[in-house]
Amino acid sequence: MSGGDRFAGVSWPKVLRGLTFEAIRLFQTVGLGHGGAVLVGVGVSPEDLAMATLTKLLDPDDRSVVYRGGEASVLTFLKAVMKNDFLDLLKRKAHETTDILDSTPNDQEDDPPRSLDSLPGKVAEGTDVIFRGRLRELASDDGELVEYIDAVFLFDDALLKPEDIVSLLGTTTTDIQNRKKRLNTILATHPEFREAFKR
Amino acid sequence: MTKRDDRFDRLLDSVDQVLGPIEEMDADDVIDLLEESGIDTDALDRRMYERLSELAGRYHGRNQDVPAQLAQALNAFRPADVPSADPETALQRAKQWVARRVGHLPSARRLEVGYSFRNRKGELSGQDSAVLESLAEKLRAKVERKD
Repeated sequence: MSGGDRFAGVSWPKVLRGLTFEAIRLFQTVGLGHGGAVLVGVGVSPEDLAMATLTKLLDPDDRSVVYRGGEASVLTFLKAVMKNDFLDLLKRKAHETTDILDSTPNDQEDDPPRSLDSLPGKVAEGTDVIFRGRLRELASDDGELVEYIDAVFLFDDALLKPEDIVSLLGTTTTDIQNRKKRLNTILATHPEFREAFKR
Repeated sequence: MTKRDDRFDRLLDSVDQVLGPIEEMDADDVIDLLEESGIDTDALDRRMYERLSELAGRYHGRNQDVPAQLAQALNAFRPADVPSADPETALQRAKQWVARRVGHLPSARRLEVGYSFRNRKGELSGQDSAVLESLAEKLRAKVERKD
């Protein structure tokens, strides 16, 4: 099967935009997970990360990324590739930057990241609690969003499924989609995160 | 092999859950969010095109055909002001260009609704006029939604 057939119908600009927004989330997540730490100094922007990931797929000479089709969409597949590259990037840059909080140098530089403690921000136990706290703080002006965040993280050991959240909040799927959209907009426009993308 | 720490995966799962997976987001919403994040999507496409052109140049330099998926992506990212040798791509670009311009034209017209009455004698009452005006407004709203 040729590359063209395997990728028939794929909208590459749509894939790139999706990947870029996912990259922004990756950057934000680490920042959020550290109570406001930003990734200044990493030297790679979310756009760079997304473009590099897509280029790997489009270049048959680069055998590190091979998409065989199947159930996962190209975007889903590349999201996973990019996440791994992001972890590698954090680890590689850990010793080079002083701008990231709690930087933990690691003497096994060439190994793939195996522990979050080796990452620049030291993503430790309880990171999801900090993440949730920061989200609540940012959404504090909107009671419905705070209620929604609390519902998603109701149980410490498992996230509630979308249908359970709809039922718990006594609302509709459309309303939940709308709340997610509002939350995404708050994150996209928050100056703290726009600041995080400066090199 | 040492198993990778899964805390980051869990954290990202929670991000997907609370914000919704990118795959489920509307394409226009993603563009809006990128713009709100300070990313110019046209510039992003252009940068990607330049990067892929460079990559295609390497294949040309080796006298090899550009791989199908790379050629496909190059066409998809080609900026409107960069000419294409492929007539189909050029036609598609021209259509997109026209659609963008036409799509952004402000609507200069206001729909006027006319009435005609069979066997009616005399003037309309105030109540009749109010009912007709309300129906006309509903009709205008419906037509604008379709536009």
